[in-house]
Amino acid sequence: MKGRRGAFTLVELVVALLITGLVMASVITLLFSVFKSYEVHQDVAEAKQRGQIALAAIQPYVLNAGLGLPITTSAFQSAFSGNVQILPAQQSERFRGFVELASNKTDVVTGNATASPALWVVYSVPSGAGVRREYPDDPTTWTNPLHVKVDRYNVLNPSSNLSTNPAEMKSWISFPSASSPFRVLSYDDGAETLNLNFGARQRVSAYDELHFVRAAKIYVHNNMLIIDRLDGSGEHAVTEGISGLWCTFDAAGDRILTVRILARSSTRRGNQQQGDIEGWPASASPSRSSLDSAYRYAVVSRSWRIRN
Amino acid sequence: MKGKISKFRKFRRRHANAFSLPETVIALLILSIAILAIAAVPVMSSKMMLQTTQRDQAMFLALQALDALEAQPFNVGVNSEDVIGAFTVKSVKPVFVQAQPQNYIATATVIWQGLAGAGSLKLERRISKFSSETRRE
Repeated sequence: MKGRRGAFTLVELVVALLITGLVMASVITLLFSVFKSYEVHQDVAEAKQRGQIALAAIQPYVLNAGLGLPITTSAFQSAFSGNVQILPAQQSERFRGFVELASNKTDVVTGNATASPALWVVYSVPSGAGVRREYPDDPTTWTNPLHVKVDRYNVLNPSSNLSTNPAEMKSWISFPSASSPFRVLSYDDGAETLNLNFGARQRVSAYDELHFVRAAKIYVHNNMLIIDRLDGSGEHAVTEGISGLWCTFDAAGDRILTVRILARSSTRRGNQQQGDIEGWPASASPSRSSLDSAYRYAVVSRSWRIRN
Repeated sequence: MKGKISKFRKFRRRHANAFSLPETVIALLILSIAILAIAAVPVMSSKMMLQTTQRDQAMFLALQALDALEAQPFNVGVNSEDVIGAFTVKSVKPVFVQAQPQNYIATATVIWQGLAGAGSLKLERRISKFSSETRRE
């Protein structure tokens, strides 16, 4: 009895090992699932963050959409004369308004079919320069072109920001108090004046700021959100890991632009088992089944009412 | 006294190194409760993630509904209910009354029945008489 005091029997040891093994197995399984869920959360958070970055990049274009530009299709299409990029000669290819969606529609700029849905926005950028008084001087005569004396002309920097070529977007400016864009015919650095052609009769309020009219095409290509400013500055990749862009816009009704961004995580994992993607419509492109299932996806949505 | 101690020692020598069955069962019970608590962590966090996603969706729908209400002319009252997937969006806007502009508030209520239980979200926005209007041509 005294000699056996500290020893285990074989049976005791085996039973103890068995129990330990069972407990360890369950603990390890649990740990594994905890790590797995951590991974999933990490991926979702990453995807959502990317979506937020994309929305933040789109927002300034949307908020300035249509500032000082015509609302109705006919007024918008006739406001821009000449062969501006956004308004080619073909009536059917023209922008119908300052927010244009092209899901399964012809690319209005190149005339080619778009591979993925794109959002076009015609927007106005504040220049920092403005007018000190009301235009035109005499509202009964409506003399065209309009000679406008620009205050703080030096910030306008016409040689790089403006153009007198009607085919370029740079030749168009707008005033928020007016309702139609003006085309720059010429500018005089010495007198600090602009010669503007107006398509529609309209008044510019005193102390109104001069805005540059610009257009941008926002789309997804190769899992990147790309903003293409149609002013010659080219395409800018905003953020990677964006798999889809889906927009709706009711131009004639409440003018609410809804943007849904389908973003994905950065890490490829072997066995992602994500079912439906919450918030991504079944009719949206790309469809759920066409996505690479090794990534985890999240949808970030935002809507804006275009009030301009 | 001495006899008592030696008796106790004898008892200890025979039994002290072994657990009794009730002791073992209780120990295992406590351990299993602890393990179950750990097991609940991933389940709970997935549930919470789902809840967050659904609340996000509801927030988006509510803001959209408020924008839509704001776009309605001031002399139109709205009381409508839309079902969008698992969500029910209720939009309410009174007709503008000149004497009580402070009562001109649009309300969007979103109710949903998620896996993690029912949820609801209510947003209000004070609107002005002219907020439906955009620039005229």
